[in-house]
Amino acid sequence: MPGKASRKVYIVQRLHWVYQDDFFNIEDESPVKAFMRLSQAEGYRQKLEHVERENWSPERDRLRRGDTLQFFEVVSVEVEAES
Amino acid sequence: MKCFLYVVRLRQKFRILFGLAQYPHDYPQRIRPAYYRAFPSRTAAEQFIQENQPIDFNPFARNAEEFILRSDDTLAIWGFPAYIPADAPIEGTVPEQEIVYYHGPLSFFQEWLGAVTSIAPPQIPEASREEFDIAVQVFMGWWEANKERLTDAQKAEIWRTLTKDPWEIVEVKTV
Repeated sequence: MPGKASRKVYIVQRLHWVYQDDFFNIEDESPVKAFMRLSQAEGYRQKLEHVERENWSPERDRLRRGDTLQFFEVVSVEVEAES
Repeated sequence: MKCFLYVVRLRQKFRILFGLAQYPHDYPQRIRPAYYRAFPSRTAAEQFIQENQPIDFNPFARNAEEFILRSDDTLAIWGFPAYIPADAPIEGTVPEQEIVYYHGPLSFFQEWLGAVTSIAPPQIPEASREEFDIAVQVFMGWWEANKERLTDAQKAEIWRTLTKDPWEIVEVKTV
């Protein structure tokens, strides 16, 4: 695998949960925005998470407010230098 | 000025096959395969895709209906199997997915695999041939048993043959 790691970025991405009978699976992940600092990414994630939870529909989404599933997460990725 | 990052990752079906989908009680400790690569330009991301196959993963891991051994001993594969002769039957195409549905004798594939790897290809036991996903099971098992002996180039050749484009590029705005 080519390329040298040059810097780390933090990507906020949406998790797409799908209900399957009696449990949830993650069907896909969609990167939303990338940040240079973890604190910035986490702040943005919490903002998106809050908005998403405000719009929850337990009947539609089969989720309860106490559920610990996150709708967004932060992943760190090394950006590789141009070769 | 908007800046973008270009994330290369496996397509969704492979991310699911290779462990993306986890039960919620595993969250947030779920295992994340190292399938994310990030590049500062689309050109660099495309170059990576051109030059690399996901050789750390089993190329035979796929939905059973994509890799079927039929009762007449033909193997049906969604993909671009280079081992199929040019005059082999093409059953259909799915242009939007850039795939072609071929089927041909199982022996074509076994001979091709043996020629590419110099390792005896797997045989499918007669007694198991009625099982729906037997071809996936047998070939996945063959890969796992032989992956230490296969070179990176051989692994890449198998991936290229079975899967036209396992990667996708996702453009992400950076702040």
